[in-house]
Amino acid sequence: MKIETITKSEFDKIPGIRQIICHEYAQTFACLDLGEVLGCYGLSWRSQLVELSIEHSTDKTMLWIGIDRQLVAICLQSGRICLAMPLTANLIQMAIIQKITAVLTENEILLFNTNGSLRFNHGLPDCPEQFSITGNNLVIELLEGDSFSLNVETGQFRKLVEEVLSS
Amino acid sequence: MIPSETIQCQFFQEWQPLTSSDEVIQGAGFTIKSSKFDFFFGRVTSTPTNTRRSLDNLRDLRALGIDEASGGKEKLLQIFAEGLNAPEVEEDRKINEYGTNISHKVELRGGEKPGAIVVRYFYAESNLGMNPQVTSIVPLIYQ
Repeated sequence: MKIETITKSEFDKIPGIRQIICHEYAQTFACLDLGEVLGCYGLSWRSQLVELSIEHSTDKTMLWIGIDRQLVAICLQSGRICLAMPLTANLIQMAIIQKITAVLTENEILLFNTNGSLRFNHGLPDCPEQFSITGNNLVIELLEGDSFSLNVETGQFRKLVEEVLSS
Repeated sequence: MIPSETIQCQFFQEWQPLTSSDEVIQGAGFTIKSSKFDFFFGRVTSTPTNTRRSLDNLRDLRALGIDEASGGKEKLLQIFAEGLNAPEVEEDRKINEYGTNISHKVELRGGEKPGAIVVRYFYAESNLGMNPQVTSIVPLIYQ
């Protein structure tokens, strides 16, 4: 897998069906090269500073890519797009945890199964800063200081109090 | 020059003295946490990703003619007030257990580049009759 920055005119030459992440007011354009068999896919996003979030599934058969308000999962065996999901807020962080793909946006946390189906989603009361992984749990920190715990197996979502965080 | 801890602006419904970065600013028809302006003007450095996102805001706002050193904060407050009556970005509406997020797009001219700012307003408990809180912005640069 190779990602190379390209010009807008080069991006425009990529067939529309292969422009898998596309922003109306893009400032950065790139080609995702998956080799001779699968070929190239076009990516464009809004920022010149914010970088793509890229994760391989645990078994390396799926590639997850997210930026701005777009999320895509590509099967690396067939080249098929298994998931192409517009988001309602900017993507902040993505990670694979226990085979599950966790995606944090400015207003929710989403968990996806290995094939791209949605396992769980939960809104957040304010913009999050990041999440960390502890065993089967995600700990989501909000910008204002509150933290929430999410168990990726059960979907149990709860606010953490200070004593729990420091223990 | 207006001291940063006592912001005064014609777009405020009432004059509100601010004493810390966590204060809530009462705008004209909306509220916003003062700390949000750290994110808008490139001062957030908590993680590498958030640093880039914050610097990205700073750079794009400057391209749109919004600079903190020359009244940028007050200009944003004006934009947030105007945004309440600007066209909604309907595909961005999000309802969750805490309330409803609604985005409006404010067109901007007069900066180095034309563009817009998408402002997201959060209506707690989905009470659309209450003043919303501004939670985030997305500057758009038209090439």
